[in-house]
Amino acid sequence: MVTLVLLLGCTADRAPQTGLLPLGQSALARRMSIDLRGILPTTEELRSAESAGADSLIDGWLADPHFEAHLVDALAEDWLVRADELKLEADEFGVDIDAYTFARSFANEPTRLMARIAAEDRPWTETVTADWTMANHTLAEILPLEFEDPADPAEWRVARYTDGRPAGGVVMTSGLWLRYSTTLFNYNRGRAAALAQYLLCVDIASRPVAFVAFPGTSSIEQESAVHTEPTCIACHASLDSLAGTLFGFWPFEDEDGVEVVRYHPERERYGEILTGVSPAYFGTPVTSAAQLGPLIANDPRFSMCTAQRTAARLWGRQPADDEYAKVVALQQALTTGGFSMKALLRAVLATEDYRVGSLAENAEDAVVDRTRTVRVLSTTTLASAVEDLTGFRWIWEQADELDGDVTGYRVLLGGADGNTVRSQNPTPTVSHVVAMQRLAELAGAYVAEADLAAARGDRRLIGTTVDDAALAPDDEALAAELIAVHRRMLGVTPDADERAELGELYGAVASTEGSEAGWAAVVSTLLRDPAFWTY
Amino acid sequence: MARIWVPPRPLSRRALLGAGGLTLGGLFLPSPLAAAVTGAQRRFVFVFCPGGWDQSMVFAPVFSSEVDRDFGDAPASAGGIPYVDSEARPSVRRFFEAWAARTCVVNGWNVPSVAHEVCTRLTMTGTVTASQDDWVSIVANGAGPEVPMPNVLLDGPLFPNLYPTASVRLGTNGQLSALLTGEASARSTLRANAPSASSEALSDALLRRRLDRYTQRHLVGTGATVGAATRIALDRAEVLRGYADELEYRSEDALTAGVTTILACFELGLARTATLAYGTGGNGAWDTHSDNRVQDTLYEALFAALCDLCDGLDASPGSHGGTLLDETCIVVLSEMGRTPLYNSAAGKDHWPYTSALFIGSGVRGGQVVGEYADDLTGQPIDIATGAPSASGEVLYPGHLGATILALADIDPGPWVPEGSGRTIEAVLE
Repeated sequence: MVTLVLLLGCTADRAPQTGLLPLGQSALARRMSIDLRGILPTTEELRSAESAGADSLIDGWLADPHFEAHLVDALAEDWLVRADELKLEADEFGVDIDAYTFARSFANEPTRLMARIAAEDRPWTETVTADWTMANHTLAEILPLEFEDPADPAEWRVARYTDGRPAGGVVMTSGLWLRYSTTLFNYNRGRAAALAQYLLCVDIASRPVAFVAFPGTSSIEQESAVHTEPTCIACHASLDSLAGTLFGFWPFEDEDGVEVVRYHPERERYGEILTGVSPAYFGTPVTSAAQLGPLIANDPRFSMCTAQRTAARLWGRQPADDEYAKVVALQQALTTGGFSMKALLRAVLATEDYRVGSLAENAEDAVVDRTRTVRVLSTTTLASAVEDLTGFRWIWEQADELDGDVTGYRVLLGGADGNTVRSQNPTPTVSHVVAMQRLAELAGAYVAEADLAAARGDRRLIGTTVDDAALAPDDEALAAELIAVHRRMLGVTPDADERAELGELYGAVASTEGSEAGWAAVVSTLLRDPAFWTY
Repeated sequence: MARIWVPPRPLSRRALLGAGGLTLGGLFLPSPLAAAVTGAQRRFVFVFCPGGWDQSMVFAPVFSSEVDRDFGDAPASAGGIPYVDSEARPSVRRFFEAWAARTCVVNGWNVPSVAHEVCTRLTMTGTVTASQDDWVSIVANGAGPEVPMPNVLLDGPLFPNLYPTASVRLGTNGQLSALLTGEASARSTLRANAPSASSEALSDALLRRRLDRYTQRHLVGTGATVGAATRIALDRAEVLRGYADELEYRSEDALTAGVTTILACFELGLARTATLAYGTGGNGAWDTHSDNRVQDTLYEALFAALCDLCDGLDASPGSHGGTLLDETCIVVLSEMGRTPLYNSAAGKDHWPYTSALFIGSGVRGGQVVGEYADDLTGQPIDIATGAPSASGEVLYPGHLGATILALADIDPGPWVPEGSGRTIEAVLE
């Protein structure tokens, strides 16, 4: 057993009953930094983790500005809001904005709001009750917002709608409902299903329809059937009444941008006229959309769903049916902590399922099957980690190429597009390895050029141990520098063989093409290593 | 270096595409020289039409008062297959006249939902749970490691679980091709020097040694899976670098480019299955809640492409003495159907009964399996004969899946839970 544990690079802690073996402190710190901040720990932080334990770093990382930025990305991946194609395009609003900036501005409104609440450690219930939102210059140009335009058009600030919409946090964001739009013949049902799925973990749409004969051949007959046919009522009684609470967002013309993104307070009860269904929240009548947020906030499914989704994100898998008690414990951590997302995150980070690094020989099959001993960097985390490390961000024609698929590589790298691909692929494929190769080559060359031209104190990655990073292959300082680069990128010190191999690579390239090319080769190779893009 | 699945007589793709432009539709039957391929050798093309096609416009010649249709629609028949003809869709007629003998229409199968995402998952996996691989991934996985792209994924929905490495995505704007050639590196606002060929080779070699080390450090668990999958992916990428030009697919011309790419991949032995979607974006172009006649254009383009695909496959030599069409089964699907009657916007809404097409190898052509009633509800059938039978079975996605797997010689048992569908024997040759 001890041999196995050492081989797997873990601490020699005794295997608990579950068969999960924990990560060592530096590897745990690496995982925590990536999950909380979307970037790798610095060398100093790794040293601190080894001496004082990884847990000692959590509070600092929860206060790090990267925490909020990363949560925006992580929630966007969870809520699948970053679709490349929205129902309407920028020209519908008469603004001259590229498609990517337009789509991501709307997509990020709800996740920016949630991330700001988490970053300021406000009660998570505000995600459905806040009377404010987050906006950037693009949204302010389009939406009816009270917004103080910042000098930097990319900056996001607190804003308030001026179109009479009630407080409701993400439920009252135009960004969420432009992503999850409705057809004029579906009466907000898709929106209600999304609301139930993402806020309550109630997946209404997945319930199979079981008809002996489908009720009605026309839309009119079908609409009638949803109120009378028992098979239909089972889902539609809750779905349609919930959809009825969202009619303030109902457009009379769904191709009219202004109609679609503005709130229309006078239409809040319009659904009753169209469908004959009174607005309600799972049986509780709703007379004003202002009631919706508090009803969700007080629904125990909301806190349970928050715990479940957060655990899923950090465990790298969905909690299994027999892990109900674990999720309940996390829910309690959230609620007793004043609905603090940071409290919930601390609780998830403390779980055995989060800290697992390998499996004991006695691990049960069910545990082996479901446990994620390593995670693969999501595309947005890959982008932020590489940028933090090298300064390189793969942008082309305004689009972040790791965050989209029109010309980019999100799905090819295993990400989800929210359309045909609805979950991340945790297993590398051909497109993953070739996209990683090109990203690594670009980032490696970029940081090599930048760092070799920079003063020692201004360097990101290369040359942190020497004044002149243009080292000759036989320079004695090379070994220490290779160790520093390796440790920063992978979180571990390379062994003698690894150092020798990296030295040989550097030497072979640098001797013919120069130091910059040598460092580019070293960094790009390490970026392509699964030890970099898994954690 | 991974071995590539090479047909015995590879010809130039352009030469074959030129031949494919000729109409060879008179060849209704497999080439006399064709040797029957086994299911394990069979290739597949999956064409997915997202949004929900209107089955009444082509597959369901039900002319009753309960079905709204355009005045131009007329019942027609070709090669034993009744269909709906229209001057607005001449390629539908052209397809059935040329390929009916190789085609089986499955009518009236029931997707037990009317929500796009759910219907798509049901259609592709037979279930709503995430722990079930889609039919394509299951079939593609049977190709074995020597095929660089078990499934070449041009576009469309997949739900891999056990087999996430079975599919190779090309990207919808030539991304994989650009990555393989290195052209992608030039598409960056922040410029960086590209590595020299020798530097790249040295980096590749060291990466493989480091991958060995990673694998040794992760003998069990997810890390072991990652290590093994990375090695396979690197091997496949190495092979595919030589074919980057053939893999430059762009979805703006999905059908034409798709057919060209699929033919190239099959001719070169790069793939066992191919997946193509036509009409992607949002809920799908076929989701015609308003102006249902949009489907005229969609059907016309789809069937023109199916003609091209069949022509191209039929003009290409297969690996077993016949043509590629003798070795390839084409499955055409949409996740749902549309209501029989128009709504107030001249559109049609979601309908759980729909149709599918099976074309080519392994398929008993010239027939329709399943039936619609006058109100376009699917009727139970005898799955052995395909004939309507009051004591028979209503077809569900599990039936389609079991049939696809049977065509690939894969036991449907582990993949299609008992009671959720059986192989439609009537479809099989």
